[in-house]
Amino acid sequence: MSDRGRPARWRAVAQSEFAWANEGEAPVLYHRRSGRTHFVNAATALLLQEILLEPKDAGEAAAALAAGQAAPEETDLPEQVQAILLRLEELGLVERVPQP
Amino acid sequence: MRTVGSLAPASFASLLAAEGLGVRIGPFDFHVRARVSGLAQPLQDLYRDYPLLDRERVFSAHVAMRETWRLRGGRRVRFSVDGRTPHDDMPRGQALAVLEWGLNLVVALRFHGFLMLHAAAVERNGRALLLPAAPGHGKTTLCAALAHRGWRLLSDEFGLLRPGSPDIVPVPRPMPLKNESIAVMRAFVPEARLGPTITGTIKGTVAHLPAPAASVARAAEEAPVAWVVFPRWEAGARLALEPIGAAEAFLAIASNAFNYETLGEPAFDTVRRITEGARCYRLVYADLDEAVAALDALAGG
Repeated sequence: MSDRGRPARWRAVAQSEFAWANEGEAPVLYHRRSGRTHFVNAATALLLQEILLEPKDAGEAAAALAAGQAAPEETDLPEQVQAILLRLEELGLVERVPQP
Repeated sequence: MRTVGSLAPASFASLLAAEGLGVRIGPFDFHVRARVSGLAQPLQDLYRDYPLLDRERVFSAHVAMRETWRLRGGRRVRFSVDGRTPHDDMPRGQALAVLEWGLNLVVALRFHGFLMLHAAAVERNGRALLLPAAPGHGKTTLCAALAHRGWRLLSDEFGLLRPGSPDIVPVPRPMPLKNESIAVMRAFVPEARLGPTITGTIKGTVAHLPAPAASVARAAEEAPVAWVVFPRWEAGARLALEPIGAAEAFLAIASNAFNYETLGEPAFDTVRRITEGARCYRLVYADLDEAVAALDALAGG
């Protein structure tokens, strides 16, 4: 949770920081700022390349992910996405944005 | 073009010990000077097909070796590159192996203009087969066998690539056979003239198989990677050549590189180009003939 008890909102860092390989199959991401290579799944690639181009909280991101992957919306999907977002933040791949 | 073998043995030994010799090994111009008794003849035999260079040039590195003596430890040899000694003195009887490992060390530590994979590489019909592997996985033995069954040796130790390019830069060198693989290759290539058998090294017993003359002559011809095969020798194993996915191959290749982290994005881009353009497999083998036949079939298919 963020300030004032409202859920944190996240967005991907600039796309210019990313280079991709094996897109669509088993994506591999090179992060130019850190110089690190990450092996990600399709859902994480979707988050970084499309869903989080605009700021979203974990619930909104989970809904977009479920829609984007044509998957049933699991009841704990927002919690799963929240955990992914925290990890991606540690890696410098997403950042929190101020509440509007 | 003069080659190392064109020199009379006495002249070679004299030059090696005095002002040293310039030798082209793949993309590298080495200046080699060594004053170690008994080293000149096997060294000339192993490198007889390599171009000799005049001394009026900027060399990639100056390597040297000389004898030393210790109260405890006896006669030893000291390897140096550009005047610096990268490791402790080693037993004199291992001088040839120490020099060869020293050259590997120089390449691995110096030439970051290349992405360097710990891999063997061979070529057929203009396409390269890359064999990345950890030590002890049978990489050199398999590479040596392929190099004597219709494939051109590109390298038994370094898969060199220019950043952004999927082409292997050849650096054919003598292949250091170890322990049981020495007898295996003597049987596999009875006509081969191996260097002296060197016992008691940190890797056990070592004997060097010279690079085929045709491979040395074509050392300037690069070849794009068409296949990546991760080999593993396993006693008694049934032959298995199984495709692997691009992400797994990417991880394995990047992990195998000496300098992936050092190069950064150019290394990422190079591995991306390899995995996008090559078919990738895992090979488990026990029988060398079976493994060679499987890779022949792969290249013919």
